[in-house]
Amino acid sequence: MAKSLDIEAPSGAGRATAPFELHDSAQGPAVPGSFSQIMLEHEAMVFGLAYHFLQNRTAAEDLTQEVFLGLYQNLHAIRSAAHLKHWLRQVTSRRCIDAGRKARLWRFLSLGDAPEPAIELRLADPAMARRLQTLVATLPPKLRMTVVLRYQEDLEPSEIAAVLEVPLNTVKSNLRRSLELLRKKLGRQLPEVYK
Amino acid sequence: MNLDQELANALKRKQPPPGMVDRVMATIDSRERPAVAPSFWHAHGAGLRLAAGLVVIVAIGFGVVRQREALRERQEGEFATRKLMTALQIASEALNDAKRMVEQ
Repeated sequence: MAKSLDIEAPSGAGRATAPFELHDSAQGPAVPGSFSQIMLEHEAMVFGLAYHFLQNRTAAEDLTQEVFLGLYQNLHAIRSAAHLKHWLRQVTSRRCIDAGRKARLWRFLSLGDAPEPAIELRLADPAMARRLQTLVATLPPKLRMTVVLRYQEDLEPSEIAAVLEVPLNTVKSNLRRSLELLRKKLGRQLPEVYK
Repeated sequence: MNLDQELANALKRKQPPPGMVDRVMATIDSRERPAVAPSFWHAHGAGLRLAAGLVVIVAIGFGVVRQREALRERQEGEFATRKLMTALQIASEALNDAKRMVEQ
């Protein structure tokens, strides 16, 4: 459950000067047709964050639906396209981390869950991608979300800090720690590929 | 191997299964749809059930009272009949006695 749905836009999010174009007016109700457009535009981002974090399609679908239902209820508070994207990332991250804490998925997922490579792995190999997804899922919730935001959304550490509402140095150290953990695990599993 | 590149490849955005938008919009529609006006029975069901219960209780009470009155009336009638028969018997015996005395 998200702590709060009333989220401020980050300082670097760049507010639109005009009223948010998907509203009838700055204070008016959202247009239902426009809401469908918002969903179509952002569902891959929200679902991707949830799926890469939870590693469970059904749970990711449920979480995505909850996030968009929450957005619909709070659409009046969205001020710009940048704010909308920030809001979606922040609420999705919070809900994922809460779900991860509740399920303690990372405790139950072990390195043994990752499939053994049948052939030599190359760059952009789907098996390698799957193995990395599984390894990312073994990270503790906050580290996992930091990695997912960094690599799925290509966010800078400062942007991740704004989404997760943690200090920038925490994000940097979390990223370093996550990559060290992933390198160590990969090195143990695939010494011939990962050197 | 470039871990950054591999992670970016592994953690690409992912399309949800088709129909996600429709499902969310359907949920929103169902939540926003005004509640259907309840039927007369649903609106007044509790009151009607209470009234029906009271009617049944009153009817049963009335029936019991009527039954007791009828029983009492029947018993009074039987008692009166027995009194009359006794009186007639006494009168008959008195008449018989008087007739015997006259004949003697």
